[in-house]
Amino acid sequence: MARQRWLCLHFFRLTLDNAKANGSVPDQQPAVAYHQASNNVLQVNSCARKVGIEVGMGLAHAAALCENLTVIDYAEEIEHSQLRLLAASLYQCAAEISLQPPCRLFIRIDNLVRYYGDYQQIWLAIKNTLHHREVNFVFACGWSPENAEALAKRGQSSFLLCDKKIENILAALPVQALSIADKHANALHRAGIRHAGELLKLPPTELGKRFDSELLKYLFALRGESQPQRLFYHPPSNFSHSVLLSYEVEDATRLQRYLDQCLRDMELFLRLRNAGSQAISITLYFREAPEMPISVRKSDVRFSYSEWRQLIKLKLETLELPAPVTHFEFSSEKPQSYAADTADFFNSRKHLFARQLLFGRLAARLGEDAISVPHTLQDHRFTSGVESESDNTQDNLEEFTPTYLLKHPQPLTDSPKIEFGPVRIESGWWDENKEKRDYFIGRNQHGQRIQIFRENGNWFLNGWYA
Amino acid sequence: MASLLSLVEKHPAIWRGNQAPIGQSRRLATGYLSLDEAILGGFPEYGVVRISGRTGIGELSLLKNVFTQTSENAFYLFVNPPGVLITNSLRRVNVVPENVHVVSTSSELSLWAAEEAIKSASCSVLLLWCEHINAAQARRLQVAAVQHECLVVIFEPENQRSAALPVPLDLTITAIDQGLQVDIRKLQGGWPKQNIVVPVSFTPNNTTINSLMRKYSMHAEDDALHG
Repeated sequence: MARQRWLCLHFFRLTLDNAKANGSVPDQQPAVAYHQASNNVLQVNSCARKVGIEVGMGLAHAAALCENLTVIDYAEEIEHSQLRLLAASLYQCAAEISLQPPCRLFIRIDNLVRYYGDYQQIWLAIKNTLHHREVNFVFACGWSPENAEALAKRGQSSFLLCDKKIENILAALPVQALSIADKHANALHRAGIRHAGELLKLPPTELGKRFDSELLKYLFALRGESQPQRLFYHPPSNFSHSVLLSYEVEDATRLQRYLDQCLRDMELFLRLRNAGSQAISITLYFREAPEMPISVRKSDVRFSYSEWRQLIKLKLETLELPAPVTHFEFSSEKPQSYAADTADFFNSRKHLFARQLLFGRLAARLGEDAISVPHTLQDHRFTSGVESESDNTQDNLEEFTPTYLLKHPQPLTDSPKIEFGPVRIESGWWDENKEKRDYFIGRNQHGQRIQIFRENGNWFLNGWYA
Repeated sequence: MASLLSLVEKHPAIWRGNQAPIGQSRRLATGYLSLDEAILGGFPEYGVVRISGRTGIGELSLLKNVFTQTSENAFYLFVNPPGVLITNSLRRVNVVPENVHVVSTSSELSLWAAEEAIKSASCSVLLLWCEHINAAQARRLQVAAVQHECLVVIFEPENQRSAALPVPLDLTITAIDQGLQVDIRKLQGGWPKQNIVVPVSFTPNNTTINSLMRKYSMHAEDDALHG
């Protein structure tokens, strides 16, 4: 039976690497990832290791060993989302990726030889992708995911293709290194089985009598003889990323750095799908205040990193935070793939494009309703607030239409001289806003031409002529 | 060979592309002879022009001819106009309403919006209404307007007797019986001049009806007298 080959990548320091990429961990400083619930230090970086801090210590112990220790909170969901991001970037090299949260990835590489040529090339491609991400990992290659996992757990990276070597190393592994339940491991230890080699030599029927089928399945998989069903990674259809901030942010502009990183990830996401997005929604979470959703819109679909960055920057500048932000969620709304008919992008689109960019920028800073078009009077009523259903173009009254209209007519205070009029308009009997007014053009003592009208004996100021 | 080229170069009317002389942009004539003579032929094609005066005395109608001289699909942006802008009246001042957008915002942000609009290079004419603009802000807008080829007209209320701005043209307009009285507060490349009378008439009036009625009422009186 042809043996498969799987590569196991164990990211043993994922939270700390992510924190370093965010800038929360200063360079060359000791840092640990601390799990509050179990009071354990789970991840230790090299500087901390030099001081003497080990995985499994309590926080007090670690703090006693080192004064200026940076402590990052460990949260499984955040590490899981980090793992998903890694899988998304690895998806560009390999198709069958299986996740084992919180920090392990299995990639099937024997069916990639057809595309890459040999294992060396596959490994280089994967290594390059991960190098960009700046994560530390231990890797091992085996016949099955379980096999590779067991090899990786040794702590030493190895990329072995020779079957014999893999068998030898596997045989030398202690039983504790295998992923079996504790009670089984204890039972095997009491039975005198110390190494995996001895375990694998035992006949399966005997084992089946004493242990349950779970162990048997695991052993078969370990030997590479069976392949239990695995759920493979599927890239999500929408980009969504949640970022846990390592310290609470009070000033909205400081979020810019984290949002830039999310934008970069989104850029990659959209480019792979040949899509663009017109809106981004960011939800800010606070410790004691209700969450605040923010929406940033752009007028055209095409992705542009600098443009999005500027729009977000403008939005953040005017944002008032009610409380410090603990974490936020960043997602794009409805990626739309670029339609083929926008292909003639260059012909006479330059000014239209620039105009849309301008509107996007103005809307981001001033709000959506700051930008409008001039109001068109639909019928003979000189009111800006009335939405009429008729569609009358006022050819005969164009000379008489004022340039600016007040939103609501104001009572007339001074006494202008009447220059033109009256024009009696009785209109609007078909809807609620019936009116019967005499309109005049008046000229006040400063020379301003105003439109005034008389309704029921009262005089009102309606607008100006310019 | 070299001497021939230098002869060509020495000719005063010939210059190289990268030596394009500045200040050769054309002036947009307003159509009113008295005004055009005084402001060196018309409004500058690009740059900031400030007009101080009350709303509604004919300030946009003064610019009617200037607007016809902008390009076909020129984009107009009105920032903080004094009221709701009505498209039906825009045609009267030769502005195509489809190319107009209006921005309404606070006065602090209006200058920012104006600068953004100029820098986007998509705007041909920007009309800005603001309470007060100081020399530094005007200079910024002027630099941006010349660089991005935009005509910016700033309308200020009349009672701001502020110093002249570092802009190509600074006018004050007041309404008089015959039309408008224009005082030039500053003109780059020319002398300021006061009391220029511009016969701007932009609203219909009752004079025709009044004169006709007077004429026919006199005749009616005569008929009544003579029975």
